[in-house]
Amino acid sequence: MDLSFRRKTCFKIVGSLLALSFVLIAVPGSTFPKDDFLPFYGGELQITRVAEASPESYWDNLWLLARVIQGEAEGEPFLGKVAVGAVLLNRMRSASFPNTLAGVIFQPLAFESVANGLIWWRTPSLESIRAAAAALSGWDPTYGALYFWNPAKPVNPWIWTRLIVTQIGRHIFAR
Amino acid sequence: MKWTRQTIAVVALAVFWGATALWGIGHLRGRRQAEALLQNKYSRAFYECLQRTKNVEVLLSKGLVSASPEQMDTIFSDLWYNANSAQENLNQLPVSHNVLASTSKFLTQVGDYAFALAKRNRTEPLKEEDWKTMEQLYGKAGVLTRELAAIEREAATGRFRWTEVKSRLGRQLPEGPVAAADRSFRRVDTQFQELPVLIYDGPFSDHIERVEPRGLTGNAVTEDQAKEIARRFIDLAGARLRGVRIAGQIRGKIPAYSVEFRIGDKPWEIISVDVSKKGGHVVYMINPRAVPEGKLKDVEGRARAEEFLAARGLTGMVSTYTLREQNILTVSFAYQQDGVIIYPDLIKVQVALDNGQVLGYDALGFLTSHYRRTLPAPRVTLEEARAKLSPRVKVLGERLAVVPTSGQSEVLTYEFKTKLNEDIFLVYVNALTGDEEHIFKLLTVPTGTLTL
Repeated sequence: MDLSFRRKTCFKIVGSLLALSFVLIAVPGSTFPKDDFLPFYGGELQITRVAEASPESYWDNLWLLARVIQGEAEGEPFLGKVAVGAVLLNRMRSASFPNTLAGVIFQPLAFESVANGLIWWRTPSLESIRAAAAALSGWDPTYGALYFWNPAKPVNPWIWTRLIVTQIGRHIFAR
Repeated sequence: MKWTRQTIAVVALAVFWGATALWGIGHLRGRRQAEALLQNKYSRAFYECLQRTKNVEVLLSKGLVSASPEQMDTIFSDLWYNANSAQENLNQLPVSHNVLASTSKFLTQVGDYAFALAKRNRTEPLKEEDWKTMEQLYGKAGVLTRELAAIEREAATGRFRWTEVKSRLGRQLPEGPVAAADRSFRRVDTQFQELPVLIYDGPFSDHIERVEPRGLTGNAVTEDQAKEIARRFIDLAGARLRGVRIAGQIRGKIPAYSVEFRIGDKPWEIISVDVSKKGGHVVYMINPRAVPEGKLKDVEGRARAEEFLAARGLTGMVSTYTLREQNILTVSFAYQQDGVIIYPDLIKVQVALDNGQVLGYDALGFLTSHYRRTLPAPRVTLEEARAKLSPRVKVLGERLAVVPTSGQSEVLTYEFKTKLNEDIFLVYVNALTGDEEHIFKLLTVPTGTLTL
């Protein structure tokens, strides 16, 4: 009686420990979703520096952009998502930042969701993909902003020295 | 020996403890390896950046003493390559961007400027001010090489290690090794905040940031006027307006009021319109609704976009390209003056293909560059321009068009739509000099249509 009770508690403790360790080990995997709709990039007659070799190659940039938009602007309105995408593309065109999309995205310490791996664990929502497509086709609701941040979170104080352009959703955009 | 429960517990505990220790040691090793890997990656980027910067410095000095155009050509191409590579590697270092910004800009501009000089150098000798600029850049490159070498010594003597940089954003950096890296780079960066102003024909030239919008005609408007302009502009497609407010003011290249119209109960059922403070021009309109089905054909959607512009007094625009994605048709328009297409004056209209409602409008390009131009008469005839094309291509269409150069100035060109095997290329031949200005390869996609 007494023993069985103890054994039960033992099992419970061990069981819960095991369960906990599984939770700690099971990192959400990133699944590559099927593409059952196809946004394409038109022959923009503007000098844009995202070179596309073929229609298929448009996808990698779109996905990468959509992932970062998902990581950085989840819960933001559609316009706020386009704006985040536009900031990344504006950085690419700025002399002080890397000149490729991957260079901008993976620049160390640039984006929190890239630094903590969040972009690989979340599948971009349809809205993030639409926002990425809109940004790639040249929509820039931020008028050339290079920085965005959420004033509710702790930020580097120097960021407030930038020229603030506008606020969209919870993010402030600055040049 | 009788195994008491106590002995069993002790043995189990010992085994468990041993397993934990092994597991911990394994992880510690893994972490060390990962750290070494990172350390190596960052060191590689740093040393690569240092070497490339040295190359830039040497090449600039060679450029100053070279006298043969062919040799210059090689030197400038090398400069472009090395400066780009230095910039790329610099931006891979785990240092906050604000302490790299000016250094990064310097390297980008050196490469871009060298590229522009290489192009000019083929047709005309360099001017006196180009030499002066090169000398200034050479001096700056020397400063950068010395500073990076100093940082290298600091890192080599263990003043800081790259991997100790915290992956925490926005936090004040802790004192210690990390702050040392940041401090060292900040010291470098302050030397580059006073760069010579470089104005040349390239995408990173200093004048591009400072382009004053030309299309903003008219007087200042008030908030109420902006609301009224936006209300007359939007396409409600039968929806009822439930409220309008000024959501904010935009202090961008075109100062504007941001007007929001509520058209439903859901938080995202809004139409946003940006109206410029000067002249009350609509810069952007976005209605973010999803379009579930596409009943209309592209041609019908395009007609709808043309109708929309005409009804809002935007005349003289011709559609150049349409693209259908997720049942939304994006129609690009360019201004047409005296039968010449003016590509920089770009307006985009998005039409929902379920009911023909206009969901999006973007006139940033148009408002930035539009004015009544005095177009020069072509000095090259159409036949002469056509003779400049590669004999391997087949010409499908041709017309006069004004296109932006990489430095955002404009040139009058003959636009040729050409075909090589299955690929479509747009070739632009300068109508005054006969030079090939641009070649674009068109991505032929089933949902995109070019009208030429």
